[in-house]
Amino acid sequence: MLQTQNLTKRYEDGNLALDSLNLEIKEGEIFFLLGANGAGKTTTINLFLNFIEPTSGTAFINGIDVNKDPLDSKKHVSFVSENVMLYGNFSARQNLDFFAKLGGKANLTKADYYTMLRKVGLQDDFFEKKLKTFSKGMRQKVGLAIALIKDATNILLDEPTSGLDPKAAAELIVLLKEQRNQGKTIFMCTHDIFRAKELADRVGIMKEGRLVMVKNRDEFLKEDLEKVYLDYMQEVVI
Amino acid sequence: MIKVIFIKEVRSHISSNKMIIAYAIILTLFIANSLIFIKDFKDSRIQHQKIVTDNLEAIKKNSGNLWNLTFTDQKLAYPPSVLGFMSEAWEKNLPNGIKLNFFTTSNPEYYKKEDSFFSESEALDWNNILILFVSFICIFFSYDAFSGEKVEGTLKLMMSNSVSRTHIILGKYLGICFVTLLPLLAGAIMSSIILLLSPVIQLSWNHFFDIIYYLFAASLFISLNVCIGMLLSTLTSRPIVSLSFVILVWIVFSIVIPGIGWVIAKKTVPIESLNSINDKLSIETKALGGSFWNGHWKTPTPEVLANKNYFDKVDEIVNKTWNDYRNSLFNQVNSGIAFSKISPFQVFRFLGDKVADNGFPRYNNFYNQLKNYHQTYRDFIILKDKGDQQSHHLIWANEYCTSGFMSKKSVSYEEVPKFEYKIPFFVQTINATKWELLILLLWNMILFTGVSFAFIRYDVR
Amino acid sequence: MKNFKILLIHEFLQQVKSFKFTLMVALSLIVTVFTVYVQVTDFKERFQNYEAETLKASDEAMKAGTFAELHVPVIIPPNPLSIFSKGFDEKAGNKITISVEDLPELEIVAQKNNPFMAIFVNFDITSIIKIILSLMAIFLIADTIAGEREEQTLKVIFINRVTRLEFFMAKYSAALVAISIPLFIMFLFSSLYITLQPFIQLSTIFWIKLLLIFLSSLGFLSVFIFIGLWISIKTPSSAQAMIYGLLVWMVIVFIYPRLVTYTVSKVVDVPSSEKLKTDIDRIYNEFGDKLVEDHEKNYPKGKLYFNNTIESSKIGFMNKDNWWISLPYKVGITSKFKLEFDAGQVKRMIPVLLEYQNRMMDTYNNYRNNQLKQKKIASWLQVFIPGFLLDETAKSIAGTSYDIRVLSLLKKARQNRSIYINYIKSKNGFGPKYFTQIPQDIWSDNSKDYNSVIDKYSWDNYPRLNLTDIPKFQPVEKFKVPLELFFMLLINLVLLLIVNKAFISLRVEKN
Repeated sequence: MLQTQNLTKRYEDGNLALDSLNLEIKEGEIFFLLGANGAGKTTTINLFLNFIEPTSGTAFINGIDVNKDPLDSKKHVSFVSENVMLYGNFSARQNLDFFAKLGGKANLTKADYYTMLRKVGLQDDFFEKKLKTFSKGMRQKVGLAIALIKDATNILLDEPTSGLDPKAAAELIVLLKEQRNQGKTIFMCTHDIFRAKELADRVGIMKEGRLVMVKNRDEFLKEDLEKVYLDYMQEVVI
Repeated sequence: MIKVIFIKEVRSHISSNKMIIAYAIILTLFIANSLIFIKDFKDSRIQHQKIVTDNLEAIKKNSGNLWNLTFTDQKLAYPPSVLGFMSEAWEKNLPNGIKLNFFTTSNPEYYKKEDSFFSESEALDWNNILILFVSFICIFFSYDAFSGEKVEGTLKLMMSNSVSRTHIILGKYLGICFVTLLPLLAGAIMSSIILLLSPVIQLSWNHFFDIIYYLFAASLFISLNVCIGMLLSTLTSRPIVSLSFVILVWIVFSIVIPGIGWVIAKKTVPIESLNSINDKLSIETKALGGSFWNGHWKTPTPEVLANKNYFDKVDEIVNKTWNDYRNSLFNQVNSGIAFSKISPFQVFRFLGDKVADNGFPRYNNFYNQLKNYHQTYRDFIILKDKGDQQSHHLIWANEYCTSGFMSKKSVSYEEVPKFEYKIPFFVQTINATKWELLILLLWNMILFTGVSFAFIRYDVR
Repeated sequence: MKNFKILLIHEFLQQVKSFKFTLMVALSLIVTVFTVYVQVTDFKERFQNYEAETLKASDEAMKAGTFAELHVPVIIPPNPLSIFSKGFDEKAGNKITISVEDLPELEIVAQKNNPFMAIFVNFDITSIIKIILSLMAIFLIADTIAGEREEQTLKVIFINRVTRLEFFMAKYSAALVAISIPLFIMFLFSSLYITLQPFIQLSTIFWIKLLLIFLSSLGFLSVFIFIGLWISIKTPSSAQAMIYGLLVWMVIVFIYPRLVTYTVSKVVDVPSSEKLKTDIDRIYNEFGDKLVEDHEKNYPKGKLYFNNTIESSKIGFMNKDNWWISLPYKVGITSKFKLEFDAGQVKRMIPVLLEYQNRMMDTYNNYRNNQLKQKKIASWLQVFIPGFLLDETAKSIAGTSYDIRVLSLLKKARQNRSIYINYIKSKNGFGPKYFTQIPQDIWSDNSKDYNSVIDKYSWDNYPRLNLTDIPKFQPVEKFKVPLELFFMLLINLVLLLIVNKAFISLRVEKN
């Protein structure tokens, strides 16, 4: 479960990146956070991962205060970043091996890694190839495999479908649905309204650091989500 | 977690092409160094043997007459250092000997082969391989330790796991140190094997301890370099900026500060020119009023004693002046060395020079041992003279006249004390280098602490 | 090429606005200021020594009473261009003595240095260029193409009608102009500082030579720009390109040259100076035998003379009776028969001495040529190393190379000595005037005959030679275009072709 209570972040230059975020995402739920660039989506993820300290408020992962027990809280979360280069000189399996061990999975075998890589849709002959030869989409898959192999109860994703071809994006959706059905909590920051409609249980819209709208699946399927989103965005004063 | 990060770090560096090239270069340099050293050592040793033999022959020839022996000049030089492959310490450019007789010791002299066109050839000893090349390699591996991973996004990914920043620092630090120590050890072992197999070089247990001690200091040096790279990596998010700073630091430490040492030395301890000293001496000795006399007298008349008195006073002035001069030479160099130890590279360099007992440190040891020997030699001659009932026991620097007043008996060649250079014992070496070692340790501690503080505050996003 | 100008300006601005450019300029400035200060201080010391020595030596020369005693000192002043390229200006001796008894060889005068100070490295401007500016060149350029490829700007450039050649020329020229900025500042600062020193006299030739050294340095840096460009094209990532660039720099600037000189200096045997000394001594002793033989043959047996030798010759030998036989040098009042014998000996033996001295000088030349064997081998092994080429070029231009500062100088010295010998001949110097000022008409075997003039020819009062028309030593004004400069240009040309080819097949697309 992911939870925030009045989570606020004001940077040193005065910029209010996040304004009193109150959010709760339960197990087995997929939450999509939409918003323009600079709205505060990535800040939210950074706060969850303790990359930055909140100005006030708290973030919880499975009830653990992220700021007080960062190491403990991180045991329960996986992360898929937007543009990840990973270690170019290592193969897909070697990258997976390293991050799996860091994630606490010390006893996995080569076969386990191959299974995971296959699961994310990577072709067999790329398993032992160096990552610097991979395309962006292939790297994303490895990034996803890294997140999944940790088998954490919460998965955070930051723009995972950007730059992916429709087939790859669709494969990602299938995997995420599978994880959700296994009871995982999934929190995804994205611009991809199309996928939101396909996958999300709930959708939130972030504007200038504030969560201005939250709708559940029944609600936003009835409406034109794109129009709703754009209406909110038009009010943004640049 | 440290182990996981350590293994990843080692793997990621070893698998790169630049590592293979760097390793190949380092090993080539070590091998070339040992092969060339063997030839050079052989030549130097032959040279040295000749000096020793000639000197012993001169002693033998003149030991038949104590008076002859008293006025015989001994040409003494220290032998080439067996550990010269570790640090040549500008040996080729420095004096390595002294001329002495009963009365005086000379200024530093050169008794060596200095025929090479490249008399200032830059050496390719272990010291230089480490300070110039291996330290550069450390830069390659450590400058992007943090900034590089940040740019690649892997730092964020690592830190989304339950791994503390301390573990990351330690894992990286140990990994990079390991990867840089590996070629050093491989090179050192290969070198040592080549040297051991050569009939020319005899390495004793003392030498082995010295080599191991040097390698320990070298690991501190490598660690220091890794810390510099890692520290500068945490001060910025752009690897190219870290690299700029690291190269700047490298140039300052290895080139600029040593260069400044020369200026500081010259400014803080000016040396009087030989001409000026000679002029002063001739004025001072003239002021004593000479006592010139060419008699053959064998009775210690007042003229004889006045003559002795004059020569003794001259000796005193001359010896004091030249001793002061020599001390000023050493002081000048030491002040330059002291300043240039601001650079940890120089600290390590001078430690290497002392451990190899070569160049300036060796000359210092030699000079100190020689002063003791000189006293022993003088005491021996005075004693032998006392033992001759027929001698008036008057020994002074006027060769022609003294013949009537001191013993002319023969002494046995075996009895004559002969100078032999004693190489410092391992414990003495550690004692002589304790400050350098402490400074290296201090640098390591400060830099590592700096890395820890900096990374704790590092923005990993 | 119409886009060339746009590309050039853009590229140039990119370079000079970058953080690394600022840093490297600052670094090279600091190092220059410090180096110039050190070198000028050192030069001042050398110059003061030179002035003192010149005064002392000419003072002494003017006191000569006989032609044997006449030693014309030639003290070589320190060369202001040695601040830029030290070469052999200090290492080789700076005094040559032209006289009958001496061989014209270089001696080091006034050993001012603490020999142990050799452990501190002492840089000249050329070394700074060789080490720091070359690093700067590689550092500036190594990631330029790879970086643009990574940031995808390369694609955007080539969308337009930009030819590969234009692009290449723009990159190269911009880098060359950028790197010439710190180079120019270095030269400017150094020149200004040197001009302000009252003890340094600068001629037009100095400025011309300085300009040539500046241009050679540009040629040197151009090599590194080509290398950097090539690495940048061939390497996929900018980080890797930078590392490879630095590695190549390390190998070209430090490792390879050191390996070569270290190996050659220890492995290639050269004749030892001991052997030279032995050879010279042998020739010298051969002459000695001849001198002794002449003495035995011609000296009136058993006769003793009242000896009033003012000063003895350096050239002397022991005969079998342990008598010291030497050429006459500066003789005061003595027996007539002795003066006649001495005059005869001078007439007979000076030509023989000159002949043997020629043999000795040839032996020295052979020794030096053999010594040069090491240099030649090392040179051929480094013919493609830009640092070596710059060094040799700068030394040749500055006049501090071994060839100019030692070999040509000694050749000129030999010529001057011949002139000098002829001068003495023209003054009838190889007769009694060689060793005494006592006029022949008062030579007597009776010591009482000299009572009135004995003081005149004593140690303190000995008359001096009239030296107003003595030939002056002509300095060497040699300028030879060094071969190394051609090699440098050749390397630039070769690299131009290679890099041009690389640019043509340049991959614009990121991996």
